[in-house]
Amino acid sequence: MKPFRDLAFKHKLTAVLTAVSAISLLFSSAILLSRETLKLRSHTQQDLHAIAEILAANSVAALEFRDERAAHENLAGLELKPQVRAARLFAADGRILATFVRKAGAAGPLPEQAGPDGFRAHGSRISMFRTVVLDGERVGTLFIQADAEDAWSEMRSYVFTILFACVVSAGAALALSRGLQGAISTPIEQLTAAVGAVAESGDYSVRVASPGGDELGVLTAAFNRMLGRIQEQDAALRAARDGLELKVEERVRELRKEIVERRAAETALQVSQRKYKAIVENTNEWIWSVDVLGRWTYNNGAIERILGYSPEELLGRDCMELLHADDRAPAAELLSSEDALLNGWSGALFRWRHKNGSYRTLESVGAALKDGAGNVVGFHGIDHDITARLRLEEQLRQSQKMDAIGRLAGGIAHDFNNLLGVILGYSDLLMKRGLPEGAGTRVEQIRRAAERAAGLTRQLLAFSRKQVLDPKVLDLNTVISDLGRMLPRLIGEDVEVALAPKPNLWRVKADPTQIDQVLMNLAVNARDAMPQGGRLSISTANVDADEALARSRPPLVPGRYVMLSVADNGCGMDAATRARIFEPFFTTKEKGKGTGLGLATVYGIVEQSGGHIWVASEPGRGTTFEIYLPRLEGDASRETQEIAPSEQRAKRATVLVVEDEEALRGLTRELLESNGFAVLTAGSGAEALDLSRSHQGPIDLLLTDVVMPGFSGKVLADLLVRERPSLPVVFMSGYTDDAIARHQVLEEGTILLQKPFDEKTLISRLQQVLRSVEALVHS
Amino acid sequence: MARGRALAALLALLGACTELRADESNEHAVKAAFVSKFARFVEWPQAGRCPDHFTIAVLGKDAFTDALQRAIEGREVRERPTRVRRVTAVGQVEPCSLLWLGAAEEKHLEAVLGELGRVPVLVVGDATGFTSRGGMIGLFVENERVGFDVNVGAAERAGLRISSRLLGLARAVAKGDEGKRR
Repeated sequence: MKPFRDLAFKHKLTAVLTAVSAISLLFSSAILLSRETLKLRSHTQQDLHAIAEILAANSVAALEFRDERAAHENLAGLELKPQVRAARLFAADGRILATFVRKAGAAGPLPEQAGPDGFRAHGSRISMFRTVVLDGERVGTLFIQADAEDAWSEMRSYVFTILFACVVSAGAALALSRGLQGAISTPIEQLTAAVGAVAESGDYSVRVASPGGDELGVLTAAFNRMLGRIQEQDAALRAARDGLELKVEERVRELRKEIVERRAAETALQVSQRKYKAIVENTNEWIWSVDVLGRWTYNNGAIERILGYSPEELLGRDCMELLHADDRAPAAELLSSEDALLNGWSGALFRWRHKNGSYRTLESVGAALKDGAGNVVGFHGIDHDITARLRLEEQLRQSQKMDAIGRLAGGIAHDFNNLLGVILGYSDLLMKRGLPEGAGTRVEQIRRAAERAAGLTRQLLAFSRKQVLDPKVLDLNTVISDLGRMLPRLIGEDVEVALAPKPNLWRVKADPTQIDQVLMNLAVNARDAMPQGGRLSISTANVDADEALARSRPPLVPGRYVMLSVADNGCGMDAATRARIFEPFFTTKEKGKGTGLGLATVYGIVEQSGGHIWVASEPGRGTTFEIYLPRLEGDASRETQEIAPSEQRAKRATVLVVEDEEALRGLTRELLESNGFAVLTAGSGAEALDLSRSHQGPIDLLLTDVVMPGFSGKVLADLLVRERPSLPVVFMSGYTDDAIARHQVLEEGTILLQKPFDEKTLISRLQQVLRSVEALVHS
Repeated sequence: MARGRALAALLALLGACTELRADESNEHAVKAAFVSKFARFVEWPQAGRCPDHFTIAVLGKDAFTDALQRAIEGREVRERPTRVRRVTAVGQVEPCSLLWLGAAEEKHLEAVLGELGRVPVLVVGDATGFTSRGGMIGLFVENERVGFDVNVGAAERAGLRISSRLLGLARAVAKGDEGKRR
């Protein structure tokens, strides 16, 4: 069966109407019936009660005196009460005193004993007991029974009538409700259908016909109005939605455009940020910031290049840690000074410790960092590493000093050489003449002293790089192996000499005599550093110096070099000593033990040869000198052939001697004439030119000083060679003047006689030249 | 409760007694029960001046006293405690009481009535013709059953009213001095 709530509305309506009318009818009938029944019963009871009262009162004496006759008489009076069917009187002792029965058998059984007072109903019969009291004492009990049969039968027909009315009226209600429900349910069904249609199709134009002016009519009208309003709102919504969609689309387009622009801006910003970050990070300037307690808050990438620490390593650390101990107080003072807080600072120099323990000098520009309220929250700045610049400045200063010293030494040496030449020359002449006993030995002493003085002068010149070099293509391995044999004798047996020549060594161009000098000076220096003996290592190597190597050995520049290394394991030296070792007359040796010129000479020779010298030394860890000579590129095989001096006496040749120093000029003439040369002399270039022009005979050779008042030996040689084209020229010089020293080598084929020279050197050199000229002529 | 049950037993006994033949002792018991019940159907005048107990007086020496004593035991008349009292002279009879005039004193009836005058005393006896001689209620035995006659006039002269219910049970009711048979 379908649940009630699923029933169609009209059926519900019918059912409800029918049920309501039937129930109300039944309910009212039941009330009516029960009221009638109660009333009937009440009437019967009242009647019975009244009869019992009268009977009880009349029976008191009969009961008191147990007078059966009087009791019977009393009950007989009930014949007049048709509703009373039976009665009985019980005495106080329970004896039945009298009984009244209207119709035998109809009354049913009568009670044999007296019961408690009250009514009892048996169907249509009602009975009651009534205690009879006299003077407060029970004297007996009256039983009386009535029958309301007639009244009850009347009541039954009444009930049937009512039930019939119920059925009839329920049927009528059913029929009526069936008819009436249409009036109510039809419009509701129409409404329902309309709602369904609207819900199904969304078509708000549907309207429902109004059924009238009742609530349903109002509802229908309201529904129609609602539909109308929804339709309007729907239309408005559609319009608004369309408008909104357009707006949204437009906004989306704008947003897209904006996003694109913003992305472009962001990209540009990022590019810009990257660029500036890259600039900041990659600049060689150290950019930094610290908080008020001096702890790093930022360092750019430069710090790693400058101090070896990564920026992350230093974050949060105290900046004073890395500052040179002597610079901490000045730095703290600077940061706390009012001027620095207000205006910042610039040009402050501080030494910072590199991760490897060395120190770098940085020039700082910076200022205090302030928050919005003007409180100092830290400092920031840009520091520039000026270590290299300082070193260069130092080097420049050093070389200027060396130059000055060299110029001074050179100037002295020039004059000394002339003087020494005279002394040596005449000493030779004296000894050659044969001197009386004792005098020869004295002249010999003079000559030796002069030779030592000449040696000193040569060293001065070597340092001042003003001596005349005679460079040759050299294999340094040959040089060191030749010298190696000699060294033990020079430096003693306590020092072990280890040679490590590198095979296939590149060639260099240098003056072998000077290289010998360099090696000997370094060996002596090493020996002095190892008074208890030790090991001297001499090695060679081909070095292709890159930037890093060049930087580590300033002022070396990148390139190919032959490296000559001289190392000892002696006492070493500190940085202060290291900085000054190449200065002339600087010595750590005891007075009288060293000249102070040894390492200065080495320095001068190496520099003049186009090379560099670098020293590494720590106290107690020995010293290593490294000499870098430029590799000779190209024609490595060409080597000047040494021509052995010949004892063979040449033919009498005419030599033009030009010398401004009179003593030397006289000496030279005397030496040459004593060896069979014809000699012309001139005191200056001009005089020599005149002489050459006035001289009728041949001039086989020009022997001229280089540095002279007026024009130099070089100029003179050029002029004379113009007039006498095949004239060989031999230069004499105490030192190289600028004209020669500019390239530090003489022109090819030029022959130089180093002052002071002895007789043997002079004659052999001149004969050599004359022979080669002769060979040229004959060939 | 125990007392209630005892009462019921006594009543049952009394009932049983009235069933018996009116032999000498039973007759006395039934008559005593009747006497004890009459007072309930009588209204005494000036009830307010009555003593607060009800007395059944017995004149002279009479064996009936014991039977009366047994009949009234535990009973109240007009809501007053009831007692049986033997009197030797009429003057001893209190107002509002019942006077039993036994067979032995029956010959003094007229003197007693005269002496009582208008004193409200219910005079009861069992002499033959008791009511016709001026007695108020007279008991008799007839067909082995005890019955009584009533002289309403004599009672009214003494200021007493006897209930019609009692009168309904009487064999004969006399209105005047002369009792007449119904």
